[in-house]
Amino acid sequence: MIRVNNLSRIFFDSQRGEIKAVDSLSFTCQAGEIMGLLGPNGAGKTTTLRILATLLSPSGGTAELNGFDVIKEPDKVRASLGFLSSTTGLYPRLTPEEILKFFGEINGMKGAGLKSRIDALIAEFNISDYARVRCEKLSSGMKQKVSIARALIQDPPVLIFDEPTVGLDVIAAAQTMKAILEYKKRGKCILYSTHIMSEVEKLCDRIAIIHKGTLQAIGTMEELREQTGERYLEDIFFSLMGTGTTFAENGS
Amino acid sequence: MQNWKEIKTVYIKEITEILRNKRVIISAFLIPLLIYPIIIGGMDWLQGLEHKKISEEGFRIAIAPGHDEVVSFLKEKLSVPVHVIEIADVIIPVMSKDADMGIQIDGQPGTVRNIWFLFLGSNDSSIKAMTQCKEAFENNRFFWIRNFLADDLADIRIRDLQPFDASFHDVASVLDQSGHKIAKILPFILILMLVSGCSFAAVDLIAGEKERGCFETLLVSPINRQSVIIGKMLVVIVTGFISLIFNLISMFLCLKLGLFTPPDGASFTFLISYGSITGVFLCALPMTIIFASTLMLISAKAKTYQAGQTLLMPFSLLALLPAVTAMLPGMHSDSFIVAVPIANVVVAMKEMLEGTLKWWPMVVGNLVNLGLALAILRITVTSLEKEGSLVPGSVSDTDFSLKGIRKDPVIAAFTGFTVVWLLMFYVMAPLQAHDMVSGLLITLWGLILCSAIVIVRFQKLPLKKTLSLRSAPWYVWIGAFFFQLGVLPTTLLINKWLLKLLPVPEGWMDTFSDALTPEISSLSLVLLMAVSPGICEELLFRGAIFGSLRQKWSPWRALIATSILFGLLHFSVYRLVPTTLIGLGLGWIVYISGSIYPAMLAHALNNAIAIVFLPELPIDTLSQSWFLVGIPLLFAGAIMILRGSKAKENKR
Ligand SMILES: Nc1ncnc2c1ncn2[C@@H]1O[C@H](COP(=O)(O)OP(=O)(O)O)[C@@H](O)[C@H]1O
Ligand SMILES: [Mg+2]
Repeated sequence: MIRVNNLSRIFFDSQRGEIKAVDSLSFTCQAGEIMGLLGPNGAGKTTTLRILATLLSPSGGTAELNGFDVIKEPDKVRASLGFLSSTTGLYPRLTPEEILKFFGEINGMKGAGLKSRIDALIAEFNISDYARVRCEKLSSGMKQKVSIARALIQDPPVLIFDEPTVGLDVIAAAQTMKAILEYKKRGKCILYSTHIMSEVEKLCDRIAIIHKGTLQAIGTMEELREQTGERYLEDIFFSLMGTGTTFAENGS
Repeated sequence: MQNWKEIKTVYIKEITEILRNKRVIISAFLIPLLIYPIIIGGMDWLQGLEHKKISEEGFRIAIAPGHDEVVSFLKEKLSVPVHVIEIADVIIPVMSKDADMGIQIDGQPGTVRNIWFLFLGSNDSSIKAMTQCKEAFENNRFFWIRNFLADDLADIRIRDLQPFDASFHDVASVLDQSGHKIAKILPFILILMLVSGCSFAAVDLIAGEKERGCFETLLVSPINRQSVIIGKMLVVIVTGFISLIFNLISMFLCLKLGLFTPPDGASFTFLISYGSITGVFLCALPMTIIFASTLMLISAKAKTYQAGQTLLMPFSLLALLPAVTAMLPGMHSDSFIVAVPIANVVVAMKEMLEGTLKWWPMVVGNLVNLGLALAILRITVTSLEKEGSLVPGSVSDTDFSLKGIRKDPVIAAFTGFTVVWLLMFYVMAPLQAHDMVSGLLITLWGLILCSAIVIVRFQKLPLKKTLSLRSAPWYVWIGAFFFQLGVLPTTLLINKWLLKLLPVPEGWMDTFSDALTPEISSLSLVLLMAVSPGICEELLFRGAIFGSLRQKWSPWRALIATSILFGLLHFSVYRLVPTTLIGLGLGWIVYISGSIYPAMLAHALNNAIAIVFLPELPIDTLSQSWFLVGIPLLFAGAIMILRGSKAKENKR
């Protein structure tokens, strides 16, 4: 479903010069699987996901999503994709219903089909109480539900989440993760990026650990344990970083 | 077409959202509705107040005792009450503002007497009193003559003394008179209103959405980016357009329906015809598109709503500039101004309101504006489509710290130029005014030469390579010589043409040629004003600035920017275009030959000819045939220089 091959992206910055944000990154993600991208801030997670979402162009390598190349067929890639990040926002002066309608229309849906899809999403995410209230008046938990519904409007086969729980309270974060797990069960291919280890452990089938744009290790929890000889994800992470700082003795 | 459906979807969403934005409602719709009643009603009210005050209170006039005939004359002839203050020294009450005016009369009755009207030019009511007294005395000169002559002789003598009985009537229709007054303020208000009407929407739809993270979601949806931009742009244009309509409605209500009736006897009325309202509308339409698309283009440079507004501030002020230019006295719509966007329709609007507009400048002006509008529209769409403009976090802020300047050759070049420009203006120009020769020497060999080196060394660039300090084959030198000889008539011709469009103020040319001929020999003159600028200015512009810009920019972009800066350093609107063109030629020589020396020769040659020959040769005698001599020279030179570029490549 997602196939990333030797992907690189270089930024130019007047102060820092050339930045290799993503450096020869390769991984895949199948339908019905949650792939976790784990890395510290500045590791290149967002850049990778933005390339996959056709927001940025790669400097080298290829990326494929639902069988479509991100450079050659960006429109088809976008049509197959639901994208949600901690920075994606809602239109403050529109209501959830209007937002869903707008994104539905953009995805080429219309009429009764669109209406029933919106109603289904509103019911599924319990939005109906505030479906006609302008988004600027909603709480962050409510907004998050609307955002997820928005990303799912055209029922895309691939979902990309970029640190979706940043800035949410515990309840909203838990609800978000529950929804993601539910959609995995429905056979979606899901890419989930975060720097929070507990989320990865709870959610992901396989984990790719990246640091400074390069892939450090990839595999299931078991495979990573074998590779590093460490038991807990935190220890695995630090041993891969090569920092040797293990604070995880008192971990669960 | 799929695209139109997409555009419509975006458009409907954006217009819904924008119409829910209080700031847009206020700035685009509410303020236009209120501003005309406030301004026009306010002006009406103020003038009415003043009129009432004067007609009720009248004038206080100080006059020395014993001039009863003058006092009774004023009381009879002035239309307002006159309060006389009898005092020997009439200036005292005028200065202390106890009197509006003082009248002092010297000499005895029966002789020619001097009459002095003392007033305060800084005080409105004093000026009013003076104007009315002046009119009374001038209109009634013969009243006094009659007083001195015997009644039976009066008719004959007066006929001899007064062959004409002159009186003045304003025959302009009330409509045109009022249009004349409206035309003075309308363009300013209209432009301000349109810019502020569009700018909130422009900032909100691009910078605001970037800040809120809404752009990201839109860009990962299967929608054509062009559709997104066009849909948004349409909303900005429509907001500007609605704002325009509200402007006109408000203006119409104030002016046409006469919501404000002027007080009786007031010397003004504001009226407007249906035709003029329609004309204003047609003129403002392309203007709205220009503003909307420019504002969108600028706001795309900002990451946040706040930053967007800060960026748009200077533009809003800049947009007023054409209106100011167009209001200069003597501007007519059937001149070159028709080719200057915005200014053209401002003049056209003014003339339309005054009732003197010809139809063709209006049509041509609007076509020019429409052309520009579409061009900017296109630029905006293509530039916004680029990755960097829309994806959040992709615009990196320009860094003006020393470190940033050092790392960015473009910023370094522009900062260097700005410093030189400021020093030229504030230090070098006064020095030159004090003493031409030493001032020029310090400017060229001090400021210009040093700044060239500093700009290069500061960035730690290699001096020789950046300044193009390398030898050129002999034919490039000869080529540069002929090339410049060929350029000269062309620039002179363009200059002559420009001077027709933009008349040089009286005396400007004289000071220029005076400065050019100080009391020194022509050899030193050539050294001072041709050879020195040739060397130093080339090193700064074609050397340091062009060399820096080329690090980052394409050669042509660097060339054009360098030439414009070169033109700007000459501190004159009249020399801007010719010097820019000369700079372009010189830059081309350096770019093609890879050597700065032939350009120094060409520059020196150009100046030398300007100093030695041109004063003898009035520009007016210059004809098209010069141009014909220039062209072959230019081509011959260019070919030899191009040969140099081949030699340069072969060497590698
Ligand atoms: N538009 C940009 N311009 C310059 N550098 C960037 C840009 N976007 C990201 N970077 C840099 O690329 C690196 C990776 O960033 P990012 O992908 O956002 O990391 P993450 O999401 O893992 O925290 C960082 O060093 C960041 O500063
Ligand atoms: Mg990130």
